Amino acid sequence: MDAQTRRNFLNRTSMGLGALATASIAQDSDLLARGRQTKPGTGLHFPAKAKRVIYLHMSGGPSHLDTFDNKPQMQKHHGEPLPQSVIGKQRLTTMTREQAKLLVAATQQDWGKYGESGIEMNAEFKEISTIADEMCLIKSIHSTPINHDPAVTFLQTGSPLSGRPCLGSWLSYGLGSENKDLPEFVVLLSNGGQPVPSRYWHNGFLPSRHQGVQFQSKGDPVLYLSNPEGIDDTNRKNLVGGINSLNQLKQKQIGDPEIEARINAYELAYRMQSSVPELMDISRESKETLEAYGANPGGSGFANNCLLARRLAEAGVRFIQLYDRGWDHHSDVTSNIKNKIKQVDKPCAALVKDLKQRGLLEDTLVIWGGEFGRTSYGQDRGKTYGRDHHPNCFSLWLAGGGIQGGVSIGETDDFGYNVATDQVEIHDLHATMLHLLGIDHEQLTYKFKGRDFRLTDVAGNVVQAALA
Amino acid sequence: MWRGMSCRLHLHSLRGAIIRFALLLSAFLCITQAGYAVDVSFDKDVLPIMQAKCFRCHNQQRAEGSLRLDLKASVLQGGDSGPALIASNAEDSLILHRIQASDASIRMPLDAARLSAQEIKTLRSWIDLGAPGLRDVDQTDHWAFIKISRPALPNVQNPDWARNAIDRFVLSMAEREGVMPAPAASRRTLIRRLTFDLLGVPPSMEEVSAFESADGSNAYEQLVERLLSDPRFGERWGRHWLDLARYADSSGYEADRPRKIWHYRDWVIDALNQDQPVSEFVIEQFGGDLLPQATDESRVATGFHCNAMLDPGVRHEAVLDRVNVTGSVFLGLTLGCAQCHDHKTDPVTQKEYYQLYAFFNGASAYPLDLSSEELKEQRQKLNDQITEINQQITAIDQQIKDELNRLVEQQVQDLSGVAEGVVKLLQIPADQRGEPEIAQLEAFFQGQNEDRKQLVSQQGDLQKSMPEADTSLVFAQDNRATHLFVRGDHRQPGEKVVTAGPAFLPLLEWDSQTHERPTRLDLGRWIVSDENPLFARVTVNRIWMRLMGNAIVESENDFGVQTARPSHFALLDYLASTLQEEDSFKQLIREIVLSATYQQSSHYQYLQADKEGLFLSQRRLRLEVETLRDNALSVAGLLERQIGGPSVFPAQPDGILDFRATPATWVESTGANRYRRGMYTYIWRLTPHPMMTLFDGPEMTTACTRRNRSNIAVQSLALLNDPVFVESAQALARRIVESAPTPQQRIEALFHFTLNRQPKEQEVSVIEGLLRHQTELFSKDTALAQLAIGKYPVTTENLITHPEHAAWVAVCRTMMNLDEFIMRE
Repeated sequence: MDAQTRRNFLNRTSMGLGALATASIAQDSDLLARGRQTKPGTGLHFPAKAKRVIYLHMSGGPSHLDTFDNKPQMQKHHGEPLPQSVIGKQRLTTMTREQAKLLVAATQQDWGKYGESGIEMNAEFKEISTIADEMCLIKSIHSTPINHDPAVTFLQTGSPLSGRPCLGSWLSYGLGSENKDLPEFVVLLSNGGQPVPSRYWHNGFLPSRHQGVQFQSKGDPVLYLSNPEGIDDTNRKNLVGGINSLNQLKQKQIGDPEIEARINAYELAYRMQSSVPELMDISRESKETLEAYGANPGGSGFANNCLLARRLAEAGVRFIQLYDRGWDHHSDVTSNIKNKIKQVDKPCAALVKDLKQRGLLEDTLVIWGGEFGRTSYGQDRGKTYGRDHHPNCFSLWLAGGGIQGGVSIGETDDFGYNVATDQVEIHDLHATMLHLLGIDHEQLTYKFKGRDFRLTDVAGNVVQAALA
Repeated sequence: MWRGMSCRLHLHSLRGAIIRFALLLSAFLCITQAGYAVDVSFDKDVLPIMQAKCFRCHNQQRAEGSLRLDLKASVLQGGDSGPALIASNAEDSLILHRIQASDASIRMPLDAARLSAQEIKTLRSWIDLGAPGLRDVDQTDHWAFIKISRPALPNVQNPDWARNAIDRFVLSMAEREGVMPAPAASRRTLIRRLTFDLLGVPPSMEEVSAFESADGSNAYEQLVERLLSDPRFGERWGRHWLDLARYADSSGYEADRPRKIWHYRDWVIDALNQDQPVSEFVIEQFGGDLLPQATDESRVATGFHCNAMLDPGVRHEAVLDRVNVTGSVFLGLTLGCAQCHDHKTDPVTQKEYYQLYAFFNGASAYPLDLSSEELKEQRQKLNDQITEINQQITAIDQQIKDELNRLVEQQVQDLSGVAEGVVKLLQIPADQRGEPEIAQLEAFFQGQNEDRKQLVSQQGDLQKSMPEADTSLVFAQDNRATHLFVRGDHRQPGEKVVTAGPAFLPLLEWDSQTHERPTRLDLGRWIVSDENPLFARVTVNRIWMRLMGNAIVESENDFGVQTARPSHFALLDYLASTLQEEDSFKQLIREIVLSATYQQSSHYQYLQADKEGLFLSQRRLRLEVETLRDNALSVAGLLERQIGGPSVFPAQPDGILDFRATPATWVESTGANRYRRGMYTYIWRLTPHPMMTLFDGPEMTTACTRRNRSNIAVQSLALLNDPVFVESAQALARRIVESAPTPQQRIEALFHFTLNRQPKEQEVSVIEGLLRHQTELFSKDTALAQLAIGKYPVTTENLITHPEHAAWVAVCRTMMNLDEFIMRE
């Protein structure tokens, strides 16, 4: 056995065992009841490049035309009506449908080309530009839903209608856990803007233990995590011990696997009571690290969440989902997007660099992007203009675990309105993500209501050009 | 007969039978390969596969490749590619080639999951046998679409077990399988099960001991009667109904504005308590406003469909939801599939979808004023005062207007502090002032006038003190015209449509003398008519599911063509005909809970013996989120009994309302409202109380026809730490300490209060150990003990030391987290 094969073999074994262990601990009654399903342990179809995912979701939909998709040709058409040939039969939102004219709004940002690869982006990305050579930028992502909620739902579940499992739930189901003290799928939120309801981390029809768990910087880091008044850690331990002893007596008498699952749930909950606060406490991070992220112990926000994402990755959490809100720039996109870039630039770059420095980037897939892009025509025009929702094309970047750095995939047309080359569908993105995690997206299935469901439904092609 | 005399391949519907008969089955498959005849039935084995996989494209509506597989002649004659099958020659049959093709672009079904190996084998065997039984298939020829008829009671060998008709159906199946149903549960389990199932709360200690010691053969029947007439029955079953009604206190979507519709919730509770005839119950919810003798109550009933989420910008979404919910809740049909195109498997056309849409498109929700006379008077009085003040203000304004014409700069004595702009305006001669100038000047002098200022502030105070009108959303006709949406896109109106029922179901009749087209009221009447087989089947199936844990038809919201005939079809129809005849929810529930089937033990061993659900065993079920709360409060003696009224705000963790786009309030309720039943908690659709999310409460975006019962780690944190459970444990500890003097007696009381039973020896020793340990810990930190005792210290002095009392609180929390405490068994 050569080194490469052995490593792959070990990879496979440890992850497979992880998944098996979870299945046996939780005594998945859904599985028992529903008969034979895809076994979680067999979710690994080929060697994995990435073991975990950090998804930095920019909620509201950043303008691709003001971040990563520079369209200098639009400058000379600025203020002119957007040609009907470009618009085609594109669906417009209720917000701009009534607008008399759709006038081209060229970007007013400064742009630069960065790294050896020369990836172009808004020059305001002072820090992200320094990791250009780690990035695989896709400028030709295509989606369909035009409003926030269905668009996020589509990106998260492969269907614009809510009810299917989220990305993190699929991974938790397919790959199981790498740690016994934390959930497999963790969610962190920051800033104001579009609502982020809890169904964005719902397990859909998968067993409930694959649900995401939201960690919060304010109040309890996890809902109901802290002891009520009058209980300290010692009597808590004793109390949970009592609960589990009595439940064990019941289990012996009844033999219901649900009781076993409940005993395990109390044990995990108990461990989380110490593991989660410890994890959320960033005060012991070095001064350099805190500064690099712009994180602030005791505070909250996107920078803190990025640092927490690294800590969660380190702890072996499978899927770490960040939602940063406030990217819905219907008015004054020029200055609003600059402000948002300033907020996220440093922490995003620090996260990638920090992961790299700790040897975690090679098996952590980082994804950055929104639920759709913005229109080439302006909205709310006066001195300034905003941009409306635009799912036809937008930009998104990936880095780390198995991703080819310094690559740019796909182009949009001269107005950044439609994909011109190498269209990448949301299902393709999902297939690629699963591929990097060693999963064949056609084989990870779950039987529900008589049908084998997949994250990628009946579509999805791995984006080969993105792979290292 | 459910199973024929000869052995047949049952590959399509009997999940578990495959395992059970695995050996047998493989033997048959060998025989098939060797060329021996095997009985494969077209109707039972082949048709379900074709309905699920083929008819979607090869039917009357679509006939892809000019091929229809629902007609015998078309199958044999074939379409563009030639005959679909050659009888007795599977190998050369096109259908076999196409379902097994490796090239996905020609493999059937296109763009869908492949047929399983077993399905392919079934088709192969059937064709090799000469395709026996092949016939024209009418899509309405589906078990769920045929009229309900009361089935004959099957004969059984052991009639003693059966307590009523339900049991005869269950027993006959069990006997055929050679297995006996589970024995009856203990009386203690039965009274707990019944009280949770019918009232949503646990029985009291007294109720349990009375029932356990009751003589006479009809103690159980008496118990059932008592519970059915308890007003908490309406709350418990009302909550089930509200899941279907997607009831919430806000409008949903991103804006998620508050809305008042709790009168509808109370109407449901009341209707169920009164045992309003089921047909009336449904008719009023569809068209209570259109009844000739419409009342406020019957209008409030139309709240059912007013509960749909509403974003004024996308009104049509609410109307679509009303159609889809009518499908899933009342008809067991996935009508939503026909929004963009004809339904691919069920015989519902797109046009028919919009004919249903037209029923709801003609109405909108508006708030009906239900204020009491007192409240109306109070509001009227305040309104009168406000009007009077407004008149005074208007008079002053007129005065200012008049004065202003005469005013020039010099006449205003003191110009200090007057903005430069105003001075400039005054310099303009009165007759040369334009409207904006006049308006600015008026505003300035209005602001200077002391009398006016006082009146304005008085007016503001009165506005603030004005109590809100007591309203509820109800339907009213606004008679909009309806057009079909081309490809489901509301911006592409197509053909104009009028109200009508789907053609494959019994005719929707109405009085054409009085109105041109059927109305919502007629739609409601049609849904509950005895001719319509779907409503009764769907409804009894769901009631069965609530009482037994498992449904007779597992896909309880889809009785469409793809759903296989249930193994207990006769039982389903027995129950459905009972519902049609009795027209009473209580009577149906009574019949089910009186059956021996319902009274079976839910011990896990019996469930294992009935993996296929053929004997319809009882199950252990985790309590629903509202019942978890009601159970804890009840045991603690804290549960407030008030029925109905505005929704309340029990404690919830900070930060729940943070990630919203619009503001929402949550002012924690105090006093009795802190301990109301879970069903009265205010529901913000976007940000519900976290317990709702954690414990599988309905999502409320649309009808929730079935809830999950998940079991995850964060739930244990909630049960340990949510204030309602903490406070319940404190109150329970006081109850126990005050109820008995010795630790031994107190431990017994603890088990009776929480689980309605005696503790076992081992349990006593665990509890004693806990008490000892906790007392030790609290003795070291009496301040901590004080905090643990919290809100409910004992009222008698020297009854117990603080550390001991605190230890009892801990023990109560332990009990309230036990599996047995949160399960209905």
